Amino acid sequence: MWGDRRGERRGSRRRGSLVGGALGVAAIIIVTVVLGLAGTGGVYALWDASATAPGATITTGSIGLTVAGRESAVLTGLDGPLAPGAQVSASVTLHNTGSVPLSVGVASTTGSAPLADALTLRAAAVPVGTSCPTSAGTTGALVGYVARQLVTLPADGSEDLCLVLALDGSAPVTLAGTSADLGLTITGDQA
Amino acid sequence: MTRRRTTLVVTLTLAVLLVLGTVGVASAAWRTQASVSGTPMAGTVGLTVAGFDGLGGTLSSGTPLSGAVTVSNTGGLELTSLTATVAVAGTGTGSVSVAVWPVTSSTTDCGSVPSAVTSGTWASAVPSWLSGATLAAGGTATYCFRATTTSTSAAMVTPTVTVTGHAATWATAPVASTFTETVPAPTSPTTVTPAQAGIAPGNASTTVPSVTFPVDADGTLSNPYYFCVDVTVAPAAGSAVWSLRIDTTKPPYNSLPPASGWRWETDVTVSGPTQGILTVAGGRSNATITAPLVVRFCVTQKAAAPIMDAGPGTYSVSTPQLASCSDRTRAASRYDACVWTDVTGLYPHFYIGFHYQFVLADVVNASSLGSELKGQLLKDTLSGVEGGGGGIAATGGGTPYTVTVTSDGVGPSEGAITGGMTRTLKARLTSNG
Repeated sequence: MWGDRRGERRGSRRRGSLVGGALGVAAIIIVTVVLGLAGTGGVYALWDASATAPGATITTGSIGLTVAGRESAVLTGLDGPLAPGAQVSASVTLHNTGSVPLSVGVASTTGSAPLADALTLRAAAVPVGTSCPTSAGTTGALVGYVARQLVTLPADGSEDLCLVLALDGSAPVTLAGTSADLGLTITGDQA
Repeated sequence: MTRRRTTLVVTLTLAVLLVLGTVGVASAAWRTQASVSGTPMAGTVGLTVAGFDGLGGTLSSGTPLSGAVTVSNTGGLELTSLTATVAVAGTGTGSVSVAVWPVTSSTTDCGSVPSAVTSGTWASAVPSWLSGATLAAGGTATYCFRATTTSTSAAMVTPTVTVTGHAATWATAPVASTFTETVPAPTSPTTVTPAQAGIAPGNASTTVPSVTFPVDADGTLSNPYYFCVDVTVAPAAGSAVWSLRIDTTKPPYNSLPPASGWRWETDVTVSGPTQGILTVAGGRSNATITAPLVVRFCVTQKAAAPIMDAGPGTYSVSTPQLASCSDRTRAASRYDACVWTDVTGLYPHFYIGFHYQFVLADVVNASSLGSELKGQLLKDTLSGVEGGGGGIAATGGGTPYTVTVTSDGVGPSEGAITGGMTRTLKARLTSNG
């Protein structure tokens, strides 16, 4: 009897331990998943809204961005020729081809070179067809240039990206006749 | 314990992977990119200057030097300013005046000076020459330069004009141009070229290195009615049977017959004149020469003073002035316009011929007349020259319309001048407007 009671007590303690362990693991998983989903923020809400519509087709959103109607564009308007202290400008139309709003930023991929190092870039977003503003936008050295959240494009929305390139007023005359390879990446992040 | 730990680790790993997987898929799916490229280029700066070499040469009173200078922008950037500097070397540099004005074509005749020009000496006019000028990429600009002098003293002016173009803080390489303008020294009538004395070699084996008029001990020719001529003859090579030709119709002989007033002080044989030409050869003692020989002859002009064409430098010419033909202190009018000029002799010993010319437009534009009257007078042509006596010829023509006045130097009463003597000439204009 004693042996049976001890056995029941041992069995009861073992069951208690297993139950407690399972609860602990479940708690960890729940906390972790909640934290993980919290990390996805709006994404979770978007997907959640689509998934719970009764009888509706579950579709994902689309995302896309074009410059002058293509994935890449060459801007000859920035070719110059540039004089010290002078600037050239060109505009290109950005279009959000996706179904979600995009926050647009510009980053330079231009490598360091004598002329590139003496160039300053100003980027600004303006309504399509509008001329470049005289001072608005984000200004910085061309090499390493980054401008975040220049504009938010709604789905199927367009804006003109105005680029103003200026040669430093103290650029040495040894730069005369030289050129630079300008590269800019236009990034659209879901807003 | 071991089983529980294993279960816990597996569970946590799955949970973390699930979380990371969820987050990662969400980030990658919601970014898109496009690109823009270009080839920005810095412009070039460059400049050329052409034409200053045409401004080198000899100028004198009444004989200006002029030419067009073209400045070209050979770069890819607009030259927003142009500067000119000048360094002037030489002697008598202040005696040469220069006028500069823009023109529209490099083929422009720069003989006519407009009313508004940049002027001064080379040192003072050049620095302001290009003030305010700009030049588009690939563009050219042409300017006329006209150098004049009223000096009768020798001068040699060597300007080095340096032009630089600027595009913002960049500058072209400086372009320097150097040329020399010479104002000849007054020519003494006692030393002339053989042609001025009507003398030439009579055969191919003879040369005439020099012709002089021997002077008195005080260095002057005290008697203008009696003069001698020293002609140096030399063999062209080795030995020569020499010969001279003397044109007696030329000043200072004035067609005076050799039999009347000519005296030979060297042993010579004279024949002629035939059509005014005397042929002179050596006498028995010197017919063949191996070294230079001075042949002297003297001429008595009796009542007429000798005259010769000694050329510019033996007289001065005033700046032509537009005025009434009846009174040079009164302004010209449409039908009463003359160009007045004073010609003054500088040497006392001979009567000499002279010549000068002026561009009508220069004289009209330099006047203070109204623009309407100026426009009418610019259509005028020469009617004739008055006031100088006979022997003065004047012609008008060309583009721009230029008047040339010459004295044939035949007889003192016929247009020639001597030291201290001034002839006031007026070129009458005929209205064509």
